[in-house]
Amino acid sequence: MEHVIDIKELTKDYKQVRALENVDLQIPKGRIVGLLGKNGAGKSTMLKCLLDFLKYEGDIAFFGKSTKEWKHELHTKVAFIPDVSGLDPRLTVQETIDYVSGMNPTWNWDKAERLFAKSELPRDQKVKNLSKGMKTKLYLMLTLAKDVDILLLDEPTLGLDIVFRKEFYDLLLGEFFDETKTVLISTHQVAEVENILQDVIFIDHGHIKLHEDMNTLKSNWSVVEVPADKEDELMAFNPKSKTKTLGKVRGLVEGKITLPGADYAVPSVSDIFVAMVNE
Amino acid sequence: MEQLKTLLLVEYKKRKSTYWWPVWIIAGLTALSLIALLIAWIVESPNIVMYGGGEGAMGLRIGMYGTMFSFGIIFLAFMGLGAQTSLNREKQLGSDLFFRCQPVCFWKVTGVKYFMHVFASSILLLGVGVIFAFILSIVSAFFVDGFFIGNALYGTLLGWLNYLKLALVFGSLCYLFSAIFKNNALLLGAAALGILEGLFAIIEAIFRHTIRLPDVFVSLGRMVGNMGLDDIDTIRMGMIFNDWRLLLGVLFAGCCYVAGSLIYKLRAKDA
Repeated sequence: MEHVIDIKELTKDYKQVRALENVDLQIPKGRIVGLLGKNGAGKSTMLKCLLDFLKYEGDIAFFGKSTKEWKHELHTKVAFIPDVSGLDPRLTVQETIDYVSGMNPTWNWDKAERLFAKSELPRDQKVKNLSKGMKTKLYLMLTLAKDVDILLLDEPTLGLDIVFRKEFYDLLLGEFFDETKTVLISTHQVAEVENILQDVIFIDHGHIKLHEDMNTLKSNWSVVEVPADKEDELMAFNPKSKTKTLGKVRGLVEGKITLPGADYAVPSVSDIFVAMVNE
Repeated sequence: MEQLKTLLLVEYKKRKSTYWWPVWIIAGLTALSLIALLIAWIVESPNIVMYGGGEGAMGLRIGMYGTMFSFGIIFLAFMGLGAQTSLNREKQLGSDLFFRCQPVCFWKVTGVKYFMHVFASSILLLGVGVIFAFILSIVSAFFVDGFFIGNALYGTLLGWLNYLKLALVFGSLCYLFSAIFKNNALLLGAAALGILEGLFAIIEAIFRHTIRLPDVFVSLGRMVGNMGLDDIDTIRMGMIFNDWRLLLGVLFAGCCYVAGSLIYKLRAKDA
């Protein structure tokens, strides 16, 4: 499998705090990858290191070439949407579009016109007057019209309502993603992205705890529900998490197990994530 | 070229109000002066004496030169205020990553920022100067023996060139300050120079004035070169440019730009 991002021994310190420690990671081409972690786990730091926005130790390469060698040309291949609506509030929507189109030789005017025509973005309005949802939508549209190969998203839908969140991911899947593109989404809202992810990475305290494709992950874990009087039998399999509801005990266990009288279910990524980061 | 044009345009749009404030102030002052003149004319015919021994042409040249100097001070004051945000505003607004994510060379970005910070307002100043030269020529035509627009424009040009020299030294210094200090760049920069000046004075006193260290503010002033203020009656182009100290000014400006840009780059990665 071709890797578009190669990370070797990535370490990042913020004065006294180690945000990332010896992270080794390879992101394959044509996948939607979720970088999942709690607040402060090191997700944003990792994305910023990838783009050489922060000083770090280790090696990072895109398409086999170090970020140090890429310099600004990297941004013709890779786009980034940060965790806040980071557009310039002093510019209007049209001025922002003109700026990004003028900066990017890969800008696709046909695609841009089609996207903006469908949206309800008021082009003469200043960015500061847009709602957070509108700003995020504008940011995404600007990014989609750049026709890049890799998209890095850092908590892109944080603070948005459900309608905007759905619209955001629909747009992402419909207008950007195909087998030649790669998306790396960092978020702590696991349930929100669960259905679109193909691979997941769990990050906690600056360490990668897991990196698997979704099918393998889900087949490696199972949710087992037994009557309360059979709790001891379930506990023998050392469940990673346990909840009690209405006379039943529900546990998340590694691998497939068989218990008499038990019900089985496929766990959600959220279940596995919570269990793993709370270990 | 497309990128350069876009960068220039967006830098202008981001700081439009900072550029135009001095123009509005000058327009307001001019309007007030014209109203006062009109009232004076209605009430009693004013007695206007033009500097230059009554020679209208020379009077207009010197008048416009002095006017441009005063206007330049207003423009410089706003340039100093703009230094607070010259390199820091995007970070404060949370849009720095958006701009850093564009495929454009770092030196092109900082070069445009530097140019817009130091020289953009000079284009407006020239525009204001030319308009003012016409106004002054027309008004003075009523009181002196002719319409001396050529001399007025020459005075404007000389004043404008002097402003460019001031902007080069003062603006470059402000650019450097904005790279070093995140907030209150002008104030902190001026304080730093003041401390340096004080330090030099202490060192000189310790050595019982046997050594002579440079006066910081005077040295900065010298780099601007000859302003022609001592020989204002005979002010001409050669006096403004035939000065080796101007080369020092250009060198100083280059150093401020390179140092400021490198500090800005390092600081951005430290965040």
